[in-house]
Amino acid sequence: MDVLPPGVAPPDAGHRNEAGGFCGLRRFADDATYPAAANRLTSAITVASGADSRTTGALRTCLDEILENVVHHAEAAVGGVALCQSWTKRQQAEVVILDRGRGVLASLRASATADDPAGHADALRDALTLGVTATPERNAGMGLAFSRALVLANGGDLEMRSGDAVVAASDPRQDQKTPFDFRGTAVRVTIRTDRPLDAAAAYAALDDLPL
Amino acid sequence: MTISLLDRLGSSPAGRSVARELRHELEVLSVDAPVVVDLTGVEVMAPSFADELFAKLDGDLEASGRVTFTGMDPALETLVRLVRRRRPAAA
Repeated sequence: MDVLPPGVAPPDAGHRNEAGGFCGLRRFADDATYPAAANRLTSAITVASGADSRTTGALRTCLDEILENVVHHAEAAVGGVALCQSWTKRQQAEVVILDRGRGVLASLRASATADDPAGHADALRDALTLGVTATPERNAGMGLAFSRALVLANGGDLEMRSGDAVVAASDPRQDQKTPFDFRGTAVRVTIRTDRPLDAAAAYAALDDLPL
Repeated sequence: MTISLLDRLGSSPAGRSVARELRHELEVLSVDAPVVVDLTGVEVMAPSFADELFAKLDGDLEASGRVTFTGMDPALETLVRLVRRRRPAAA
C-alpha cells in the first residue's frame, strides 16, 4: 500500500459525508501538518453537532495537544494518523489518534528526569498526570492532563493504549492487559456532543492540583 | 505597537512552535518600543501555547513594561498563572 504524504487526505470512502460527522484517516508528521489535521477532525465533529465557538476551540485545543505529542515524542517514522466519527442520535463523538512509534514507556524511560515507570500501564498513568513529560526543558506535561480534565468534565473519556496496557482517564487505577503487545500509542477521545467542552473549568481543575 | 492575538491566531491559539515564533517576535520588537499583546476575543488557549509564550518569556520584559498583555479573560489568567507556577521564571 502506498504511504500518503503528510497532509494529503486518503480517497473518500464514497458512502460518507465528511461534513456530516465523519473524518477519514488524516496523516500528520510534523509541525506543518498536524494543525490542519486537528482542524479537520474538529470541524467534522462540531459542524455536525452545532457546537459553539468555545466548545469548538476547546476540542481543537485538546486534539492539537494530542497530535503534537505524536510529532514530538513518538519517534514514529511516518508520523501518525487520526480519524473521527460523531453520532447524532447517540450525541457522542469519538476521535482516535494512532502512531507506530516507540510507545509511552520507552519515551518516558528515555528521559533523564521522568520517573522510571514499572511497565506500560504505569507509563500511561504517568503520561496522564499533570507535570509529567519526557522533555521538561521543552514541554510542561500539561497537554494530556488538560485533555483528561476537559473530556471527563464533559462526561466523556480519554483512553490510552501502548504496549500491553490500556488505561482510561475515567479510572486510571483499573488498567487492562491487552492480548498483544501494541508497538506505538493509540489515544481514543470520546465526548458528549450534547454538553459543552469547558476549557475554563479544565484550567481551574489543573490549577487546584498541587505542584 | 499593539498585536491582536485574535487577529493573528484566532480565538483558540495552539501550537508550541507558533507560540515560540510569537515570543521571539516580542523579544525582538520590544527592543525598540513597548509592545502590547491584546488577548481580547481569545476564548481558549492550548496549555502548550501558553507555556511557550508566557512561562518562557523573559520576566524582565513584562516587569519593565516593554511587553504588556491586555484583554485576558479570567479563564486565561488562570491558565497563565498555572503555566508560570509550574515553570520557574525565565532568567
